[in-house]
Amino acid sequence: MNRFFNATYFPFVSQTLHSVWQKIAFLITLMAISWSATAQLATKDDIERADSLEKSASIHSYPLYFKTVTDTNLVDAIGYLDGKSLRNIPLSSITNGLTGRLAGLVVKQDNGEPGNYGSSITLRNREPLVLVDGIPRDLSSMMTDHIESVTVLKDALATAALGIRGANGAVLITTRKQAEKDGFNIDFSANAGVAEPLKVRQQLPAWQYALLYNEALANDGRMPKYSETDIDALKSGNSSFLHPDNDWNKLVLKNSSPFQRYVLNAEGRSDAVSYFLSGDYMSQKGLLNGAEENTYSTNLDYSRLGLRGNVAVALTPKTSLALNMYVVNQKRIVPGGTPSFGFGANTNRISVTDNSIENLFGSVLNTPGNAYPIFNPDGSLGGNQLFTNNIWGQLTRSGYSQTNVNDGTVDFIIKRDMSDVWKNWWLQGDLSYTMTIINTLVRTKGFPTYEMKINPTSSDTTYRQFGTLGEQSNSSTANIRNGSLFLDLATGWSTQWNDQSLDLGIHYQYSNARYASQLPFVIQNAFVQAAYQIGNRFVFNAVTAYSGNNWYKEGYRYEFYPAGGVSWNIHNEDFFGEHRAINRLRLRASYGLTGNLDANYFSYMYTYNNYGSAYYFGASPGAVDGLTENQLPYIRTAEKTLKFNLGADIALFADRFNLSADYYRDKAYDQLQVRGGNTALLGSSYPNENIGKVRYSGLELTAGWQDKGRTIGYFITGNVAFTNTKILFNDQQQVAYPWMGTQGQRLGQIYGYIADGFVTTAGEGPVVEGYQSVPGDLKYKDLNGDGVINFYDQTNIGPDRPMVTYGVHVGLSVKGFDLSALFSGMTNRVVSLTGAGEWEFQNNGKAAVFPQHLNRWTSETAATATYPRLTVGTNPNNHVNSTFWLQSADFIRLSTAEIGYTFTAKALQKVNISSIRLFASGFNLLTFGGNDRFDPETLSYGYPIQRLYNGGITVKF
Amino acid sequence: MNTYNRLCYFLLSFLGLAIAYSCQDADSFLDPQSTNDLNEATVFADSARTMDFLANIYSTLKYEVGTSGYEMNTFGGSLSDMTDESDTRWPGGHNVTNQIISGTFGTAFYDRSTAIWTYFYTAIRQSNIYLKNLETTPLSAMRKARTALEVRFLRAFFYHKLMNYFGGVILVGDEVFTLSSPNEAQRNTYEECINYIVSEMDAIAPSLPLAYTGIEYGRVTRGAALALKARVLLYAASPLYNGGSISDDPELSSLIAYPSANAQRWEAAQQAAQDVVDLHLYSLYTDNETRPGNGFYQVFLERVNSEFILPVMLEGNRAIENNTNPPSRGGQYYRFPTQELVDAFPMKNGKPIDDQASEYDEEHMYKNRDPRFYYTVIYNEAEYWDQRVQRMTPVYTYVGANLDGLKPSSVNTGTVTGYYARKMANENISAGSSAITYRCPPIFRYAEILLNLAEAANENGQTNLAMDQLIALRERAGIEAGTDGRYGIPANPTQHEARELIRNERFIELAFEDQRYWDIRRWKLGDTYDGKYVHGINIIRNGDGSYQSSRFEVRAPRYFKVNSYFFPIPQTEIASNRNIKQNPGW
Repeated sequence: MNRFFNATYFPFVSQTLHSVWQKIAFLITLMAISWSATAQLATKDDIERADSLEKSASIHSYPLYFKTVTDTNLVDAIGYLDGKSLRNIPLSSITNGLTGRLAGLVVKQDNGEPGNYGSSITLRNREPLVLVDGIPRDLSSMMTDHIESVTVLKDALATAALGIRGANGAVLITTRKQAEKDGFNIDFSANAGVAEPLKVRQQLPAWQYALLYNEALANDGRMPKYSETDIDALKSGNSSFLHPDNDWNKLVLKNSSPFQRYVLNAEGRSDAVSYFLSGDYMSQKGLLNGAEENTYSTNLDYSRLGLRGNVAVALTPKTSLALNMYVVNQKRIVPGGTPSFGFGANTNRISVTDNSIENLFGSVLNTPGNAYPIFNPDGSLGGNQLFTNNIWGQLTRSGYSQTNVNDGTVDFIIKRDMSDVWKNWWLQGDLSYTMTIINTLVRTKGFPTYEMKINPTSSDTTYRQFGTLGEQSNSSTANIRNGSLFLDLATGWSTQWNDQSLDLGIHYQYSNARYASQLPFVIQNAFVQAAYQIGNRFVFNAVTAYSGNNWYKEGYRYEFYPAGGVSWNIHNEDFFGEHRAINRLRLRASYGLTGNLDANYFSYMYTYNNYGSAYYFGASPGAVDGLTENQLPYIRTAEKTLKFNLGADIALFADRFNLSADYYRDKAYDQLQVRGGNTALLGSSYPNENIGKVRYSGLELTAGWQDKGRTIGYFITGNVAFTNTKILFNDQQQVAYPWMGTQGQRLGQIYGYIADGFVTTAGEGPVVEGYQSVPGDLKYKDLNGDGVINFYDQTNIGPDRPMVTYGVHVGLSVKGFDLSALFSGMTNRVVSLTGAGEWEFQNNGKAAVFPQHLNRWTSETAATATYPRLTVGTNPNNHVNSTFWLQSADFIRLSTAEIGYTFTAKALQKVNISSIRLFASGFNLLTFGGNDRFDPETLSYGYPIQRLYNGGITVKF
Repeated sequence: MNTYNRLCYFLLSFLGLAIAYSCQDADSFLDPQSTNDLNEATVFADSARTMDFLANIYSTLKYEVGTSGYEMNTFGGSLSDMTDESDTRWPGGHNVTNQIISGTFGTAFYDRSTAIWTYFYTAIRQSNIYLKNLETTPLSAMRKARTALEVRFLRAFFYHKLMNYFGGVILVGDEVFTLSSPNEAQRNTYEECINYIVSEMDAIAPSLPLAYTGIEYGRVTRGAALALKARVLLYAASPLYNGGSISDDPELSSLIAYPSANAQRWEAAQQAAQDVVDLHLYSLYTDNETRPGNGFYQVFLERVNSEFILPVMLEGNRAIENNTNPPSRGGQYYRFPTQELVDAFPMKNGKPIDDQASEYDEEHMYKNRDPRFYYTVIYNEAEYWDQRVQRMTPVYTYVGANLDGLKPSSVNTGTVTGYYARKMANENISAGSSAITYRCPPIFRYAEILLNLAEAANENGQTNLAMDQLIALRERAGIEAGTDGRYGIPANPTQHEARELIRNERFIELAFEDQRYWDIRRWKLGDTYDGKYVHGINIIRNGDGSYQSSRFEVRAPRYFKVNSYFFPIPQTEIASNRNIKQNPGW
């Protein structure tokens, strides 16, 4: 295990092991409790194992990239999740639903804005490609009810067929296509619930702010700003116009907001036709307060309507045609300005940045409670020269914008069994089109604020205006208009002889995407895959893709991506014999080359642009446009990763227990980065070049126990992933001291000084070069011993990425009841808590103070202080990156929990209802970790993430 | 049709589709294409585009006097605030200005140092690209020849800027580097760099036009080339560079200064300034009829005037007003002039305030001063255009005055010295109005040339010639001639006295024109003028409307040590090329 904890992280090793053990102990306890409880129930229950359970694992098959394999033939390293377990989760985006489900797949919530998919997904430390039915699509528009299964493709063998897009792994979502068995069902669900903010950063009351502000001024040798009278007035709250004390969080945020969701699904299956049809509507209100004076809502408001129709028809006994159609409209309203959108050419991923929401929460962090009264006595908005912007105005009087994100996809798949020509020969064609249109309706306006002045002699009240009342603008913009075509032509053939079989498939794929004004983005990918197996014992797989993209230079576009793998089903060996207990024992190994596409729009061409700076020659100014060169060209090739994966799968007691373990060691090379040895003498910025080398390695474990009787069933599954990365080469410049280097370190480290306690006597060091220290300032370790602290003393101080991630899912069903809970967590990660919301009096001394500042250093509290002395504005010595500001971001969270009861009374069947299920579920229910001001996952600077409570009913007809 | 035929038909069409697609791909889908038809070949094959490329090189000059004021945006703070001219609005320790004047150098400062280095080398590259491609452009032979000279001037000017910050730098010549160019050049010595700039100016000046009219106005003239040479030689003759290296290391010394002093450098500097005068093209903009010193005010508002040698060509703007107007006028009040600057202005009779004969009254210190004072500084009760009432009204900077009153130095809502700046501002418009001025702030103006001439002449013992230049400046400034007709200049000053007078005149005449920062350094007088407190004025308003004022120390004493003379060469440059030597103190 030690290999995962590089010597540099020595301080973290013991911490990590400790916290991991704590959590494992917790989980073991949990398992033990559920085990004993269910075992007791189980013994009372006359357990009659359902045949299906024993069979299920061995006949189970997994959808992979354009193929499906049975469990016996599995060689690839994958993670598999049944879509059923994602339904009923009260989430607007399924991204968060994947948290903690699959070993190595890490989902981190970055904010809680409804409909702003603020979550990042990583797989084995890299950002995976998301495929829906084999085609890259945006995950945020997927709906939980439409998902048949989620397969995570991890190793080279599983992703080699993706060719130039395989290096980062993939999350493959397969949509529901038909009913589980012949016949048809209709079900309808209605959900309703509330969301409440998890963590908000609460400011100190204004009188404490004033006291601390005076103290900070005194610390800087300046005169106090607030008099005793001021502070008394703030304390008493009697003079709310001249001495206001506003709670901005309370002003901006509601305690809770409602959401609702309705889903109607119909599915069926017969010899000739199978289908899945679904309509899904949800709406979630934001947590923002609104003003009654407005005829429109300025609350963040999100709603989504998704319609899906997946239909397959057998045209002839040998020819089938499938048509999958999906349209989704997502509508968001935000107060104030226009969101901006990003679109990944390669991944079809949409990213949204809500400047107005960010600014709003920025103001909340940066404005002390006594900055200005929300309203003046005459009803106008308060403001002053320091704070010309009124938060209430920002929230309710700056208009709103409405964004419509429209996605539409159509897949048209035709398949012909050619056995009548040549036995086991088939042909398939798949044509798909995806459209995304995002348009924004902007209705923003400006608002004035007024500062009230009372003349001390005449007592006249006058007002000074800041800003102006702007007319509401009404404009509509199409932010993104994209269409992409995907074509897959395939043929395959299989044969069997004696106890051997061979399966061959050849695919040609073409995709053509158009983004805004750019030239088409074309990927061509052809691959051959072969699977050969002997006697159900050895399975050999080989895949080779030949793949490329037109944005690379000719001659550098196409490359081969081969991969191979073998698995050995030991349990099928004769020597293994008949073990009743062990029903599966398999070893897997794979090795191969995968590519990552990052062509950067014809960047191999040396071009000029006319966006330079204009110059105004002439006795009267006449603009002459500036024209200048673009970045220097560099001929890129695809980034490549050589992946090695070793795995083992064990199943015991008729699949009641199962365990999978995977070890991987991937070497990424030709990674794009700017060369370290660069010089500004070039006179141009350096392009990215294929030079970086990084090693990704790790260990993933998934284990579970499940059992099912006639009336009782339960399961517990857990997964844990240990990851490590190492920068093998980054063309690092010569560093003066070894601790300054980044080569050989992990990716995503935080660099800074090592804090070394507080200064106790004035002038004491070492402190930042040139800084005159006074007691209560931070001291730092002088690593090079030259007496001053400067960039030579900065070093790697902690990992920003989690090294251990895990999840545990437990479930129990007894008669009509079902119950499940999912815990997820991360360990060995630190965050650097800096800036507004963490430091005192930021924003040039204008910003607020927070409870942690009460523990600041003063001469009286020198022994117990946990925070440096206070200063106004950013302090050049204390407010710099150092270990002092690092906090553990380890956490474990009860991500989702659900309880339900299903009625299947005969009476219901008389009215054609097969069952009714009542359920309650929740998301982000409990969190261990972080502290009272920040959430360890998001740090809680912006729109808060939320806890959701949901209740609903599902009726099956 | 039987089943088999149907099948074949189906199969063939399927394959046909596949083949059709593959063929299409090979031909058109993957052709190298770009939506951008601008590249080196197309730009320089088109005369208009070639001139646009040149305009972009010219726009590098906006760094010197950006649309947002002198070295404001690009530098992250005004050079004036780093001298005794003014104090900064921004008290935060993360601001570059504060890091320099407090000596607590942080990331922002080092980033800025890198940005300056990069900015000018980028401009030098653009110049070399222009020169490399010029031959193939369809420009007329005359225009080819002339623009080549313009670009050579600009390139030399960029080196001049680099040398101010860093001392001797790396001369890249005419080479346009590629990614594979070696990076092992050493810094050129100070002498080599000076010689390069001077030889370039000598080479191009004779062929440059004397002046432009109409739409060509604003391009490089012969006067500009001679003015650059004059300034560069004046700097080279100055104490910091003329054998007065601040480093003991001989190798480093020669990079930042001439190894030994040589008085003849003053002669070269004097001759270079005289050469500009001898063009007889320029004169001081004088208008004492409208009101005393009106020419000094008006010169900064007019695009074309007799005094400008090379201005930065801007569109109509309100930049100076926006940046420097006090809060009540809607400005950003970026700089607060110091009491040191106020005290440097003589009286309207030309006598310094510490002269017994000056009639200076500390109680009413703003009365009867050099008219230039009133066009440079806004003081308590100074009148300035008020957009709200559409007339001139007083600005109040006394303690407690609404909006514009003196503020504690910890906040950034108003003056911390008791003054606001107004140099170059149009007094008839304020930041809050919508009017604009077609101003073009000067890079070189004739007044500087006269001061250069005065300084060099005085060092060469020609004190009377030097004083004649000051007299000319003071006459234009609207100072009273006095009975001796010497505008307050004493008769027969010693060389030392004359030197002090010249330095003071430079301070006030060129205030807020980004000269002081470099002057203090080249005079090697950091300890004299910097490295201590700057002062403000604390004015208390009495009940009867009278005032009581006292000088006070603003913020903390300023930092000035050996590393204040030059910026550090960016760390990344040294890390990738060990042949580059770092500047003293860094």
